[in-house]
Amino acid sequence: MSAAQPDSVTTRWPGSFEQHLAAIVENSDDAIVSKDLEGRILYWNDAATRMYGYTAEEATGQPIEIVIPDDPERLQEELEIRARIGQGERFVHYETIRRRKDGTELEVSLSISPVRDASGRVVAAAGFARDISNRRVIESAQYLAAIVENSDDAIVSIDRDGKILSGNDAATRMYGYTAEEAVGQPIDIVIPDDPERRQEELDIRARIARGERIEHYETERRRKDGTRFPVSLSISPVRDTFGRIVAAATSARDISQRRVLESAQYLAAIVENSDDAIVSKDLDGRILSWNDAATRMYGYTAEEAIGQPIEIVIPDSPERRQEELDIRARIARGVRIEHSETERRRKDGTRFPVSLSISPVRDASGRIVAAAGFARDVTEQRRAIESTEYLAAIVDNSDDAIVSKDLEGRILSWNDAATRMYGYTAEEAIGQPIDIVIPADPKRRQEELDIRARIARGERIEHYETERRRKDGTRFPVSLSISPVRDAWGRIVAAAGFARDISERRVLESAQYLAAIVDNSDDAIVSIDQTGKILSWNDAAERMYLYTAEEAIGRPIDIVIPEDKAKRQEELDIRDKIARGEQIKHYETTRRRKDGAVFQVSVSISPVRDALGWIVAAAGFARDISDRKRLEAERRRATGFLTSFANFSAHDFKTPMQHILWDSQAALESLGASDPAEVRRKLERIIATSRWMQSRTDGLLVASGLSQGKHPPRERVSSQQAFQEAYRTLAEVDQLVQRATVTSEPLPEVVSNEVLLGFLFRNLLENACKYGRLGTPVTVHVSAERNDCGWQFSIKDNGRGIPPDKLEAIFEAGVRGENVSSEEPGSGIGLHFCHTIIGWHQGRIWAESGPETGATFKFTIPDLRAANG
Amino acid sequence: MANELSGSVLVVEDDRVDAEYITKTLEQLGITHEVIPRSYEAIESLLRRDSPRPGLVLLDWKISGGGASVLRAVRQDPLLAITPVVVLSRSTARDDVHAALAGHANAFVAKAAELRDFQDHVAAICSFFLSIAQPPPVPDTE
Repeated sequence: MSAAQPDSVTTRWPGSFEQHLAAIVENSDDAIVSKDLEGRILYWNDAATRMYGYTAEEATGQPIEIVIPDDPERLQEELEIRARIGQGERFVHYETIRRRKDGTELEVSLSISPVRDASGRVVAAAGFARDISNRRVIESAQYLAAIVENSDDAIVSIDRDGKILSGNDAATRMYGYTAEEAVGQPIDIVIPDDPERRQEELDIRARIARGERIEHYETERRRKDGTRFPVSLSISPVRDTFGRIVAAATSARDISQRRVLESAQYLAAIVENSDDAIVSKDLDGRILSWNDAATRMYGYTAEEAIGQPIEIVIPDSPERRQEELDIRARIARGVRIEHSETERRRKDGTRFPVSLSISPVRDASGRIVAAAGFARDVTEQRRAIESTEYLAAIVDNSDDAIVSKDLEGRILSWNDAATRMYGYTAEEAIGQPIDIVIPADPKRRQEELDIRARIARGERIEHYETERRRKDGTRFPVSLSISPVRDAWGRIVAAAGFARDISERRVLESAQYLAAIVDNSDDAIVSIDQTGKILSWNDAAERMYLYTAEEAIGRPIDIVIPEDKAKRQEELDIRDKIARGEQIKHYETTRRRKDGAVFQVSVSISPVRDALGWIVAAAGFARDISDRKRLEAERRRATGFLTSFANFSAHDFKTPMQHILWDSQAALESLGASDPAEVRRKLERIIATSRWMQSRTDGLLVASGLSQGKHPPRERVSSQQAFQEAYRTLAEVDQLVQRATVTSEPLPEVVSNEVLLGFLFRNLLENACKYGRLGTPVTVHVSAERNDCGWQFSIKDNGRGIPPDKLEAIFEAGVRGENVSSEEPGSGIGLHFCHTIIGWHQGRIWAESGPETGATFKFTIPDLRAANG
Repeated sequence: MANELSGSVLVVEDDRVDAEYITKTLEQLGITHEVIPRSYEAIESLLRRDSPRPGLVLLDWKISGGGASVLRAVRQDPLLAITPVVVLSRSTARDDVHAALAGHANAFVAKAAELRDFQDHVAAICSFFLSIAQPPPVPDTE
């Protein structure tokens, strides 16, 4: 029953039927365009102008191609549509692309019907176009679910084995099986029991498994009662989140019911095709016409509605009643109502928001006799666009895990971030108790119950810090905000929670803590990237290397590596080790300061990994160990001194003691043999040896005393005499000295100490004679010259000389200035004492040497005040 | 008994007193000998081809330049390598003994505290290497 049946309503029709329909068409929110079979535009309503941008004047007479995208596929499609219309076919909700005047494209849903002349010949096509761009946007899962549920097409999904997974209400209506009966059954229950159809089904399934889509495939299906009927099938593969095809969704349309609606009156076709509820009423508000969409929208059939007051669809509230009266009054004054948003009431009493457009309908004399109204249910639009879509977008894009649960704690929704955070997919989580993400410990469980109780009382929970559990069992800290969710009546029906993983924040907090440690460290802490570029530089690094953080960061670490090939290589080797994940601990090496000074450090370097475990940098601790090294060197020197002293005692004292013993024994033997000359000779040598030991002991005692702060008297001493005495006593016991040619220039009187000066000369002379050269008799020459503040002495030999790198070290205890010193005899303590003695004189001692010139030891004795002078 | 080649002893010793008592002992035994006080002089003398090779080297380990350099020179020279070398030293430090024996000294003998013992030891060493032990064969090339 509808406005397409003018005969039945003529009796009550207040104006001309054509005028009435014209008002309807003009008021439609759908673009309504009719064209002849060549595609030339015949009619163009206001909505078409709004949709396409062309006015009726611009469009009428133009080919329909002005609104078709300039794309061969679309143009071909149009030609096919036109051909099929020419054969009397109808198109319902055909989705395609259209083009606006400004060239932009839009998605539309087209419904096109043939228009026939009085003889029944198709002469034109009338089309409805609805902009569905918006609708595309709002295709959320929930929305789709609603569509599926409400679809007039039977929608059935099956798994890969053909087992039915779901079926909607339309499927129940179409096939006669309830969802309960069908789910779990093979799809074969709806397939006619003949080999051809079975094979066809297998072929379809194979194509789906390959990812193909099947569209508008016409075949046969079987009802529960065994009857067959023709269907048009569209089948798509269903993929899981990993893209694997896990099922097939079939949409079936019963085409036996496909009515070939032909109408002599194309306006009637238009009204009939409209998706908007189109209702006309007289000025008293009595319903005159009622289309199918009105039946769908309000729940009343045309039979039920026509003749009834329009109030049957108006909510029973004074406000709405008044609104209706106002509308009627405006219509009566000839005013059009466009897109007025209000509420309407269904037969079942439920209310819903609509967008109304109402025009007055005039009779032939121009008198307003009725009103024609278009109502569009905007519930979905409003809800979807204003809330669902918007919220869904927010929820989907949120970085916070957003989970809603009912009051029993069962999970209702689960966004992507929740999947990322907890490890459960939405499929796995929805329907499960929220406990799957709560650590299994009594405290956390109790906490959750408390939260739920608070939510049930309408409280909100904000930024509550607790712990959650991932699918893999790991725990992590979260900040939760939970709000109660209320239904339309304000009852709390669920809770929506936001969870933010704050482990990173915790890490950051601990990082800040670490940063403070780093800043305050006395060790230089420097991090570098894999190319050796400096990333961080603490205060201690500034103090140690003298570069500020600003100067150092971004520069290569080489700025603190000594400019020496081996050290550079060492640095590269360390970096390789770090890159392999190794750690370097307490590695002693050298570093370079900004001023070029090189110092000793102990470094510990560790790889720095990012969240995924990749090594991205190296962090190094460096401690200046110059002080420690100095202490170590001092300790070594002390130890060296003791060792040297022990050797000195063993070699330099044991030998003469033994000689005294041997000479004494030999003398005794000679005495028995009555050889007095030999006895005298031995005794004289015993005396010389003893004297030598005595002077050596005296020298040692006084020189050792110097290091302990015991100062002997300063006295005027003839260095000439001291030297000659030293030479004489040495020559008596040391054949190397005896065999050397020792010469001296006249030596001055100096302020010194007799014992120390003798000890100094003996040490230097013994040293000068010891290291000779093959084929060259040893010569030693001693001289002294006056300088500004005292005397400078030289003891020059013609021996092997001293390597340049040893010139300073020879004065340290335990070090001797010879090429292969460890094999050389001698205590190595003599020169150390010389150094101490000259120090006491406030003079300086040093050695000079060249490859061919032998060694020259020089020392200065300044003119100090003598105790006796 | 010692012949002309194996009978001479080279004494490498820089201490005049030690050298004197060794010399006295060798003279009493009628063994020809030479005393050289410095390592490099001893090496030069040993490598000189016109002088006869000694049948035994008595080497003071603590001479100027080091006894080790003399021992090494002897062992590295193909003509001298098999010459017996006995190291004498007043130090019996572990490192010194080890270095000498590792350098293929035939023996490391401490200089005895008593003069008689010292002289007896020198005599025994000479007697062993010059009369008891088989002298090193004369090389073909010579």
